[in-house]
Amino acid sequence: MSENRNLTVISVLAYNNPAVLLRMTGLFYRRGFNIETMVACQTDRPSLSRLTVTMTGHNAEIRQVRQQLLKLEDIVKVDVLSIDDCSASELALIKVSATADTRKQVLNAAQAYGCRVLDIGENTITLEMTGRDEEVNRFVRYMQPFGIVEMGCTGVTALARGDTTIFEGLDG
Amino acid sequence: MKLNGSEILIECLLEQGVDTVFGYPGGTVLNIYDALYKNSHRINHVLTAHEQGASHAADGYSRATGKVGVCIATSGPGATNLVTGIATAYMDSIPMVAITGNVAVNLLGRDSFQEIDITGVTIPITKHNFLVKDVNDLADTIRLAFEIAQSGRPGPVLVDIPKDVSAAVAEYVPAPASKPRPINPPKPERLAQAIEILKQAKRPLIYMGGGVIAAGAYQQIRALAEKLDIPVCSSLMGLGGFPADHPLWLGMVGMHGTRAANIATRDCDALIVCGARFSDRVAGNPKGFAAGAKIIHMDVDHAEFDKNVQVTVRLAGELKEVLFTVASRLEETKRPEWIAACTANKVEWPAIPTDPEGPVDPSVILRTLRELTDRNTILATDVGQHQMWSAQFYPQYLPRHLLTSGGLGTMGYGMGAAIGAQFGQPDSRVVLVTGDGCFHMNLNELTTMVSHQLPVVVLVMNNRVLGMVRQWQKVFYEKRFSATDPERQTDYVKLAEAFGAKGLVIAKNGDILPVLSEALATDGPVVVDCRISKDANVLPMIPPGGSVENMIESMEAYEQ
Repeated sequence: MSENRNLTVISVLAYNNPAVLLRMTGLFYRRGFNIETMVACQTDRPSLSRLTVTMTGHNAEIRQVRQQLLKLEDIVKVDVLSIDDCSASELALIKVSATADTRKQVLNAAQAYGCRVLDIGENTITLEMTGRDEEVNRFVRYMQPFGIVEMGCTGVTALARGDTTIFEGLDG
Repeated sequence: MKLNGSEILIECLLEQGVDTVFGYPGGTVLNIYDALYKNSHRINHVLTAHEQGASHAADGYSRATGKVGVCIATSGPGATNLVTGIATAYMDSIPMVAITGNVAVNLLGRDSFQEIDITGVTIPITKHNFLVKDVNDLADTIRLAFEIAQSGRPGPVLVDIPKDVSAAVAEYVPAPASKPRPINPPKPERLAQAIEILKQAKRPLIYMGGGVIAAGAYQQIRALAEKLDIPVCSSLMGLGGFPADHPLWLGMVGMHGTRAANIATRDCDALIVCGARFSDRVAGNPKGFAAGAKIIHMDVDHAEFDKNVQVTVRLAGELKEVLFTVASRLEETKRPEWIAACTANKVEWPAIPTDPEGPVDPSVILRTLRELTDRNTILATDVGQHQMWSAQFYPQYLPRHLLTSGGLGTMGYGMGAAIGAQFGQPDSRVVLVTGDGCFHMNLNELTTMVSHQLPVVVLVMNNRVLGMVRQWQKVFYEKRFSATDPERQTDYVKLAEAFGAKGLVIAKNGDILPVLSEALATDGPVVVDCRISKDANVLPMIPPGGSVENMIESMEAYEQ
């Protein structure tokens, strides 16, 4: 067990039943698995939700998480994706202090990083940044000197590369 | 046919072949109890003294019969009183359906009288649970609950039914009994790998667990052991899955297991683990467990692989089929030297003392009981020293005849379990071996035994202390006996008589045979106060985290 602990994306397809989130997070809690981020959303199939969890762990731990998740009655499928081998993105909303002196610089930076400007207040600008974890972090670091007033961030959501989907093998 | 929710529930239980349910009435299950009353000729309801007793009774019924056990409780405290019993069943993979009432749907979430979020409470201790908010979903939910309870690795399922749902009317359409879901066979390449390991093995060993009993794979495990000449040991949960008088039997493995079984796990070069999970009471030191062996793990639950001990080959599947396939692909083998080496470590029991005035030895009580009872006798236990003595000195020859809380280690399990077993197997003799600590937890169920005149023999191994905890204090806490010497003054004979049962006493060695004989000849519940020494120990003992090298075989030697 000397292998590295890698950041892994666990993509879960679950019936959209009440308490499915509680059942999942409870399982992570009681078995001592540490969730880094978790995002829940609907899919194009109304009865099914997609939950994307990122966690750091050895292969054996990740395997154990997957097998334990699959025992939950509401869970239909669990795909394990390597963070480096999937399309992954997260979203951050950042309210940056912007005085008359710095406003232009902030807007330039936003443009350079491909951010959307969501709101301009008297003394702040709210920006939306999407991208991989490291891109978002880099942008946040860059904006820090201007003064970040507050920010909110989603976790990672991810899809497998190529033509594969989480629905594969379900209808057969 | 239009029926109300409670009648639909009863019909669905009958669809599943349920003939007996254990429970306790209350406000939110009044409708259900009204339906039980009207259907009392079709389904037997057993009222216990406490909901916990009902949950253990459903569990004991299931263990003794192999069927799904059913218990019913009202909302709030009724539901929370089931929790220990549900958790006990969960840890030992016992199929159970627990039905609870709840407040009406429009009162949910408002801290109404006797409201509790029992589905929230029981998420960690059930395979799944349901809150049924629409009577039209009720029948299929009950059917699904039975399907889940029996499928794959069995376990408890809870269905919470609000009071208005049990009163509302819906169309009921009969359906056949739920079937367990099909189980995929293991991957061919893994099977091939396992076969290759077993072909090469010189010193193979089988370590089996409760999964063998759940799967009913007794014949298959015996066939594999006999064909390949493999000695067999078992966890507590597997006892009875392999006959204890078989020449290949080495006994229980683990903390209080036999010397022979524990040495064999150290010395084997291939270990077949079948329906067992390397609990810390078996593999105290998971890194050192069977360290010289390639491990083939057969289990229906994929999540058990590599959970506690890293294995060489994972064979996921239905155990009967996996065992049969493995045995069929291997040649018959004889390995007399390995068998001789294993059985040489079996320790003979000392001769039974003959002095009639001598002290009462718990192992002698159990050995005498074994001689007085036939192989169909069901032994229920509570948890602690008496439980381990029962595992050691009351050998099991048939599956589903030892009912014991192995995983959760629930003190107070035994009274309910014995009741459930006696209802499930009315023609079998049921004996409960308990301790004075455990008996005090749920002795209220004596009233249930008396009401139904169940001929259960309750042997209270009365050492006047909390023996197992005290033993640990003796070994690991320099004899600081904190809270293990309660100085209870209970008169067990009077207590039994006050409940309407019979009370007997074993006070000296010479009492054992006549008193046990009298108890077994009694047609109704009997409590026997077995006055044993507070210094009796469970040995051998491998300290937690240790392995066979650390085994304590004599307390005198250990203390020196």
